[in-house]
Amino acid sequence: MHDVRVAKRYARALFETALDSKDDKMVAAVEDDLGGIVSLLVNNLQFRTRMLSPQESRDAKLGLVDRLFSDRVTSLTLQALRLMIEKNREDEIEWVHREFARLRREHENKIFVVVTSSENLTGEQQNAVIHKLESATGKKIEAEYKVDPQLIGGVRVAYDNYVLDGSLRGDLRKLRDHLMHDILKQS
Amino acid sequence: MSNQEKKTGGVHWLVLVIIGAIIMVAGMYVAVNIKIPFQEGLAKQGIPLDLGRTIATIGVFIILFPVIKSFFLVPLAEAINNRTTELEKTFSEAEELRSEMKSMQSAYEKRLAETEADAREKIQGQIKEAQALRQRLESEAVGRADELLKRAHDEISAERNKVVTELRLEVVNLTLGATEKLLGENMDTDKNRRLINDFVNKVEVPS
Repeated sequence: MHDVRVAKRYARALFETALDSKDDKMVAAVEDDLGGIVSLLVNNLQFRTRMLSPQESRDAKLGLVDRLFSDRVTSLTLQALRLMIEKNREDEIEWVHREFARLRREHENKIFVVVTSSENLTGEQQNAVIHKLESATGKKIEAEYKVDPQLIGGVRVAYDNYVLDGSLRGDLRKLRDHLMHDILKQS
Repeated sequence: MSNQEKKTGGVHWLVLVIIGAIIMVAGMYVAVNIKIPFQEGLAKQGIPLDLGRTIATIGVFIILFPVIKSFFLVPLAEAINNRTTELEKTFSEAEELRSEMKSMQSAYEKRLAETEADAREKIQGQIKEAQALRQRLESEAVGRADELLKRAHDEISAERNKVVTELRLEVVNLTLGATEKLLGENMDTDKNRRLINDFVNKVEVPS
């Protein structure tokens, strides 16, 4: 059973520990480590099955983690991972990663935006979009760029609870919603 | 005993018995001891009258009279009286019964009349109730029929509106699908760039 509150507590504890570390790059390193582990969980079915299976013993999971990550991730990440496994919280790893990233961005006064376009944006276009968002929000922008041909044309920016839709797909959807609203209102 | 005294004229029966016994004894004495001359004359004339025996016989009657009275006449009179009383009582009871029967008959006739009136009233009430029920059922049936008719009209109208709406929505979907296809075919990098520039220039970012 997934519990966001638990994931938040683990993420906050891990983030504060990483922040208090003498190494300035520890926060980024832990986030990278968590991202790698989550990526492996998502893409490797065998690893996912063994990690999340209730039939797999705790010791076996700890052994697997030690074998896979002891020389690849920071000791702090490994300790946190071992702790989560010992507490049967391994299914919270993905959410811990998300919450960790959110805490890091909050600490750095950054907003995470997802910019989706029908074609790859040029560097100039990316800069224009980021500059616009930074000047409007007064915060630094951390962007993830995606390509979705379904948008037909234009660009869509999503952050926090907002979606700024400048795509043709969005325009068509708005037009469809408007027409349907009128039709249903008439009926 | 006092009743007997009253019925015998107030003379006690013992007195009568004593008197009768004296008379009987005196008569027998006369018959045995005393020769009465005119008896002999009567005997010669063929009339054997013995005065002493006659007197004795009268004494015997006087003795027997209270006995007869006590054992025969008084019970007979009492029986007659009782019978008379009983007959009077019977007549009285019969009369009472007759009057009671009359009163019962009148009560019965009265009750019968009341029952008939009540039954008539109830029948009238039932008839009125049945008529009211019939009218109510008729009005309900008419109302229900009207309601069904109205509902059918409403359903037809709603169904028509639904079909028209679905048709319009289908037209919208087809039109937008075609538009989407046309836009996709006519989109190129330059147009996309212009769209992105327009977005950057015009978008209002909530802070």
